[in-house]
Amino acid sequence: MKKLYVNKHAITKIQTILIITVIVIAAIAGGLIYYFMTQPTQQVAQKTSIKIGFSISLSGVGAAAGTEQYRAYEIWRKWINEQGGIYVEEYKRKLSVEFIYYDDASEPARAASLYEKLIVEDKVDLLLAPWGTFIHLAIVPVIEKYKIPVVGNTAGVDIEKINELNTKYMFFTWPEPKTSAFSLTLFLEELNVKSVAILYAQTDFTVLNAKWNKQYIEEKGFADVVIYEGYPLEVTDVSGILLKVKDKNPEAVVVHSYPADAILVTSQMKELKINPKVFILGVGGQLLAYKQRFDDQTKEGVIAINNWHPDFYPESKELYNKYILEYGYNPPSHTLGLGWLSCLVLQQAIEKAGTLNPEKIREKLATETFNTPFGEVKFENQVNIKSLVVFDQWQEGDLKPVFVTKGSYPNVEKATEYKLAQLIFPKPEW
Amino acid sequence: MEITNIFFIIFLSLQIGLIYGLIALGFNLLYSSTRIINITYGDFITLSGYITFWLYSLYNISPFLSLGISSFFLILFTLPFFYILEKFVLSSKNILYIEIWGVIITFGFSIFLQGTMSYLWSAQSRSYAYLDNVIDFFGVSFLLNKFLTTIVAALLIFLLYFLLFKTNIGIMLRGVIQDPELASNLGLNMRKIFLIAFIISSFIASISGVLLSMSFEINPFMGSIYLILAFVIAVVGGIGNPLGSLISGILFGFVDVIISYTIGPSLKFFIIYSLLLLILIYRPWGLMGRGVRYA
Amino acid sequence: MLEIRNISKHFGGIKALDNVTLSLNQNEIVGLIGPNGSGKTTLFNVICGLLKPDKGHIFFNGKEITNLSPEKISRLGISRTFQGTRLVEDLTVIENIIIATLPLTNSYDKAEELARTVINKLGIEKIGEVKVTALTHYERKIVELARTIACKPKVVLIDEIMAGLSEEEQQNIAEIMVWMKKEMNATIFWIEHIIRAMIKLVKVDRIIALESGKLIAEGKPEEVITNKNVIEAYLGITNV
Repeated sequence: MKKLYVNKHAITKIQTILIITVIVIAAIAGGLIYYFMTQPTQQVAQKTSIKIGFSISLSGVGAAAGTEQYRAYEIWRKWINEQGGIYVEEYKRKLSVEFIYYDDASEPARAASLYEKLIVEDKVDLLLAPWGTFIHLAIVPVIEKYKIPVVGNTAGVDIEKINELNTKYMFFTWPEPKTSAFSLTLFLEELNVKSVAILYAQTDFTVLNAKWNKQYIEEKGFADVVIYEGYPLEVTDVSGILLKVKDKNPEAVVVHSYPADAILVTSQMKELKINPKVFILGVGGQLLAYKQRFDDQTKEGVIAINNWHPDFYPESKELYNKYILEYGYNPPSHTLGLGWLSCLVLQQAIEKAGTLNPEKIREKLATETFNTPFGEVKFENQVNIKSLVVFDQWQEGDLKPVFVTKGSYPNVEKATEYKLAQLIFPKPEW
Repeated sequence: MEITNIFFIIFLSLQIGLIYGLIALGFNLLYSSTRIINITYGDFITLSGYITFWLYSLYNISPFLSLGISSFFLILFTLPFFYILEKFVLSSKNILYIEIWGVIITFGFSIFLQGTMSYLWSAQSRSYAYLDNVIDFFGVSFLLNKFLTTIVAALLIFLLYFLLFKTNIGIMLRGVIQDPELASNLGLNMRKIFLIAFIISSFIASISGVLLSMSFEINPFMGSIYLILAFVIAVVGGIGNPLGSLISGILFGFVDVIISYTIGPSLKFFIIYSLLLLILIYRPWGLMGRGVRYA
Repeated sequence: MLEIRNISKHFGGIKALDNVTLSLNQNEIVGLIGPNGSGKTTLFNVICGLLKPDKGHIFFNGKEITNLSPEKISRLGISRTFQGTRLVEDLTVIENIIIATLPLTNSYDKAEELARTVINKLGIEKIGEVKVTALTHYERKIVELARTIACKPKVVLIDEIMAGLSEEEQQNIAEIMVWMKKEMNATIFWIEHIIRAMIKLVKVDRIIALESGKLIAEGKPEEVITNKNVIEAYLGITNV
């Protein structure tokens, strides 16, 4: 009886093997992940480097954009270290930049705890921003608590929301929705289109963009918004909406897209032979997958919203070329531009403050104006009021800038100091 | 509504529905015959998409050739995968044990595969342009690649129908799906049938991967989306019922497209998942009935 | 031919089989009786490998088969039917039989040929292409028997085949069983509650009685059914 009892409850041989296998696999996988995802930190007695920490989405929904953003950071780090680092007055020397970063799997809660870990355990000097609006928002309480400033990045948040946050340490660089929507309205006005169809993916950012876009067009009254419709992000087919667009035959189709749907909308527009004079895409139209998905002839004349261009300043071109050399071709996407912009602003803030003291750097960020190869940056109420909005057009397989505005809503104005390409208008038929 | 629009809607529904049905079928077949909930299934689709992408962008090999090449690689990859699962999981007689450990092990594989793919090729989304021109067909215009995708999916479905319903492998497979205990009592070589189920399932995953990569962008983590789709559609169609998966997939395609046309896509997921909930409340065994014996 | 030695099987605290020892000889029909829950079906499940015994050994033609998988045991020539019939509901009659002949032939054509011979023999060729869900209770029983016969077994385990059948149907099935013994030289081990069918129709060679997992009687049919223990077990009377 006793033996039976033992037999019934003891772990069988196969279970033992299984458990051991799982543990071994988990250990190996864990080790590998640790090895690849973290940079070993070296404790140095003398201050020779600045430790900058961040979490980034290398897996999960934000992995594609997060990877690009991470690479932009990495290119900046190499670029600045090649020049000997960042000069810090306090130490009377240049300090090289060292990264400590983790994959937050696109999860806001994980990102928040990783930032806390970076500050408390890894004792980083300063921070860079994570990917995505919602992750930016998730780390605000942490940086407020430890009082370390972060120059934000791919976070498109309305000014009201930013004010609600009541943050002093998060600085937003991406043109807020009102700004980009107003800029887009100016562009459409200049093109003198009379009817516009506005479509949007249902994400916070794109919904706001579309909403303001519609409102500003109606306020200015130069065109009718003939279609205004949203679709869920995970959509597999938008032809229902597009057939309505086809019926109205608007002169401009504006899609406030969010990566993947940019491809879907384009291919179904082509399929349904909808040929507006202007076709503008939000996020996604300037990404690598978009370039790869369509041949040059299809892309010709499609416009994507951006916020920089490597042709504007030699320094940005230098960073961009360095990127291509390291990681292969990538269109000059907004992710890259924002990544470098936030690194350069932080770098200049350190130089201006002459110290690594986060509080003093925050003060500089809040008060100074920064000249970067991605446009001027000046924060007011935590928001960049000088931000550029660039409209890039696909021309013979490359993104060319065709229209630029600067300043934030309501002070958005057309920028004339940049050399632009000739706009192809109307857009050639598919 | 114009007649061409109706034609277009039917075509579009079929295009989405057939692929979904296929994906669900592969998942269902494997689960109902071996009781392994293969979390890696979605990543097989991804892997196949990547193989197609690389072959096309590096060597200019047509995705239609990749149908064969990618299936070959995936089946090759399935063999050790099957061997490990057979050794540690399938050897048990306890269904609960197989289900739980099957999930744990394939989940591990899934993470491993996703990690490897994103390490090797980065998480950046990729895509390629192939046969992306518009053709006219009965007065309706289609993208050629979509059109061919639909035809390949339909052909594959006929092939699978023939395999499942007209061949001895099909008879054995359906026997094992419906009553594994009986099948083993009749002396069927269970190991062989399990292996066949694995191979068919991987074959379907690889074909779906190639077809999907022609229309949508690929990234290392996209497999999870298709896994969930496969799971939902298989459950709605009835676990263990291959025809159920196909029909539920096509139904899913129609509902998807028709809602987008009439009510508009913003409420699409709400309506689809509400329908799903209703189906599961009133027919928990799925639309077409469960083909599995729970002894 | 089939030897069962000291087999015990517990489910939780319940002894389903308690030290059962018995043997079947070549070409005999042995009835297995006992009240519900006496362990008859458990014994079948243990023999054909669906359950592993806690203790004891099973030998088939001198070879130990105790821990073999069901498929291997089946291929050695032990075939069974199930209580209340068990068919693959999605398949037709002929497919249900082909599924059993496939492991023997490894060729679809041969498997089908074999299956056709069997259904012809049993006179059910007319329903060959019918889905089994459309069959009557009696027809299902015949199909299950046909499937068992198609396996060309040396030992057949039959689990309650007569329940719910008319006199005439019972008579037909009895004839098939006698035919299996005579023409196929099969050994039949048969669980049945309808003892009349066992003794009058099939004329079994021996009867074995189980109660609460224990073997309580064994021998000539007349002896066993008049055995005091057996009657008490069936009537539910226990000696206090």
